[in-house]
Formats: sequence, C-alpha cells, structure tokens
Amino acid sequence: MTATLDGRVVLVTGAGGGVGRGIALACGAVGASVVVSARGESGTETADDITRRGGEAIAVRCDVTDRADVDRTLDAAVAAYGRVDAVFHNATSRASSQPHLLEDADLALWEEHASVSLRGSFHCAQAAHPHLVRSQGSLILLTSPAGIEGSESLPFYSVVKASQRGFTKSLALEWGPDGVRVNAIAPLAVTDALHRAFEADPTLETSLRAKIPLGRLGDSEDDIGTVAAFLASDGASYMTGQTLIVSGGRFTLL
Amino acid sequence: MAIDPEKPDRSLVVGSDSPITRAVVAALEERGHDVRSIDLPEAASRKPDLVRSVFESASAGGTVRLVVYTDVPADSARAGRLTDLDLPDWDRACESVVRRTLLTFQAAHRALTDGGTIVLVVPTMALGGSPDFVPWSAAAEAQRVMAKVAARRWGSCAITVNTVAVAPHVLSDDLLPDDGGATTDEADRAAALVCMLAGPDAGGLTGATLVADGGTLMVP
Repeated sequence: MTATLDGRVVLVTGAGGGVGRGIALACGAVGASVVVSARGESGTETADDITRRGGEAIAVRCDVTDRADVDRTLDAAVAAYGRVDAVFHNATSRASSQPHLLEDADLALWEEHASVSLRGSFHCAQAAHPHLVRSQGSLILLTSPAGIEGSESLPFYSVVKASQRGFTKSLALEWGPDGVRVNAIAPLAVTDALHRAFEADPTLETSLRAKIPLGRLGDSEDDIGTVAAFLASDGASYMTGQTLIVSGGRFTLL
Repeated sequence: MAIDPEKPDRSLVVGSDSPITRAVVAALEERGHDVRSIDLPEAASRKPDLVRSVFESASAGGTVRLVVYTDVPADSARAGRLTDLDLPDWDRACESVVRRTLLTFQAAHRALTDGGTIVLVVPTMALGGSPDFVPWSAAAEAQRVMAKVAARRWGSCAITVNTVAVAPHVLSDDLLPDDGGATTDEADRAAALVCMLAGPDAGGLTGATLVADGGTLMVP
C-alpha cells in the first residue's frame, strides 16, 4: 500500500539534494504540497521536478541555524498552502562527509555540525510546534546508522545524529499529549557525498554492497522517500518516538 | 605495560559534586586508587586549553590509567518544555554538555599515554525518552555515541571506553527525590560498576552501555 498525502503540506529542510530531495520528490508523488527548503538555490530544481511531474511545490531558501529564517520558511509555507502537516529536518552541515579524528578535531568543526543538526533541530521543532499542533501533524528528524553505532572516520556526524535520536524520543513523549508525533529515520542511501567517496575509493562501493543483505544501496526517493512519506501519513498515526532504520538490512542493532 | 615507580597509577574523576561523583571517588579510593577530582569550570566548554591544563595539573606526578566522567554542568538538568526554552537554555542543557564531554575525551586521550580506561556516566533518560528533558536527552545520546566512536578509534591504543547509564537523580543533586531515599545506594551500586569497568576483568569490554538502574528500563 502506498501512503497518501493528498491535501497535506510537507516541509523538507536540506531538500536541494540527496536524501532530502528524495523525500521531497516522494512526498510530492503521493499528493503532498511540498515546501522545498535549502540553504542555497538548489531547492528550486527539486521544486521544479515536483511540479514537472504534476505535483505542487515551492522552493524557499532557509538557513536552519537562524531561527528567524526557519520562522520565515514556515510563514511562506502557510502563505502558499494554508497549513503545515509535517516537517522533515534533514539538513546537515556541508562538513558532514569530511573525515576527521575525534582526538584532533576542533570546536570550529564541531560548531559546523552542531549548528545545523542540533541547533537546527531546536529551531525547527520550536518554530514548527504551533503549526503541527494545529494540524495534528508530525516532526521527523533524519538521523543515521552512524548515530547508532558510531563512525570512526566521521565522529562529529555520528555524535550529532545520535543526539537527534535522544531528541526524538524525549520530544515524542513531551508532544504526544499535544497530538504531535515525532519520529526519526536512519537511512542508508546513495547520495552525492557517497558518490564522491566511491570515486575517491573505487573499492568502497563493492565492499559496502557486500555488507547489505538486500545487496544494493538505497535510492533516496524510492527506498527512503517512500518510508518518509509513510511516516508523515495517517498510516503512521500510532507511531511516535521511533527510529526507522532504512538500510537494506545493513544495520539491525538498535 | 611498563610501570614507572616514580609515576604511580592515577585515576581522574571529572565531574561536579553529585551523588555519583562522590560515590565513584569513594569507591575508587576504597580500592586503593590514587584519585584526583576535576570539577570543570563553567567556561570549560569553549576553552580546550583550559581543559588541557586542568588535566595536566591533575595528572602531574602520576601515570593516568583511568578517567571517569560524571559531569553535569550547572543548570543543565533543569526540567522544562522545549517550547519554553531560549537559545542559552538550549546551549546550557545540550550543546555545552556535549562540548565539555568532547574536550574531556580529547584530554583523556592525551593523558592515557600508556593505555587505560575511560568510563562515561550518563542519565538513562535518553534510552527511553523523558518529557521536559529534551536537551539533556539529546546530549546524553550524543555522549553515548561519542564513547562508541572513541572505543572504535582508540582501541588500538589499548584504551577501552564504556558507558554506565544511571537514573538522572544519581547524576544531579537538583533532581533528588523529596525523601532523598535510595539515591546513595543507587550511586554506590553504579560506582561499583564503574570500578568493575576499570579493572582487569573488563579488559574485553569496550563501546558498551551498561544500564545501572535496578531494572527499571530493561532496554531491548
């Protein structure tokens, strides 16, 4: 059964590429009006692709590290579509895939990660709350398997993604009585950053595939976006405080 | 592991005054450890040099083999709905906690030159979630995965890193139940677990989380 988001309004941060773009496209494909948010201009292309397929979307520039920008983006969503039913906080720092060492990395790099993923979650949640109470909607955070098992080469990415899991669980309990659901998705999907990593190390793709029981890397739209659309739909109305690991079976520990 | 008689083994306990900090110091001393307590100043979360120099002072004259982190910065354990918090509240209860942990881990890595053990003590609230404690929950889960990253990364340096999760009131006097009742016992039991992780029997354990809550959560 495919989720339906007919009449729903979905906001996706960091939707100019990668998993965010896949979520925006998938939600648009099942009827949502999509607010495509990105720090730069890349959201326009995603929004254009949704409308080209017959869907409804607008692009709004938004820097989630700036609360006023997040408020302005939600205002734009309401101005365009009258409501907000789901907010996906997917944006991550541009330094996310930059390898570093836990013992050497400095606070400047930490700030890069924390400002988008931690403070960005805080800003998105606070700003979205009144809209989501009104719509009885949901907040969905994009975490990562790295935030569950810890990555030696990407420690700060692992740490901020773990933080979003703690955030999700406690906020789900806090907002449950408000009728607002809070969940997280931990995806393993092909992204631009992963493509770059494959180009740098041609053996990486083969070795990674070998560790995935389903034998392939996830597609941002068809594999991850569809799960995201489900979480935003009425089909998931009794689900809150959960992390869905969408990794082809690569990660089974929780 | 070479033993330098001029520099006896040293254990560092990093944490503000709390039931668990007191219990860990007492339990280690009871077992013969040479313990130095480090109470990081509030400004430490943005000052790597300060944390480094505090560690160097506490390590002087000894060989650090154990670092236990029980720190809960002032006011970070305060309850409140997320929507009522301002940005300084958020920083104090979440981001500052993670920064302090990061700087402590980095200083611990430098201090454990001959290998050793790091034990992180965190509140259980992030494991199952806790309303009105969203920032601290977010920080606790970040700390726990930082310990896993450190365990993976520093295993080759003969450093093990494990986490003990305890009831929040064991970490902060601010959260003591009205009767104060079982807290001392709970802290003592958790401290015994920390000592076990610091001993030779736990040499094969790293990257693990042990939940010392008397069976309240029984996580899957």
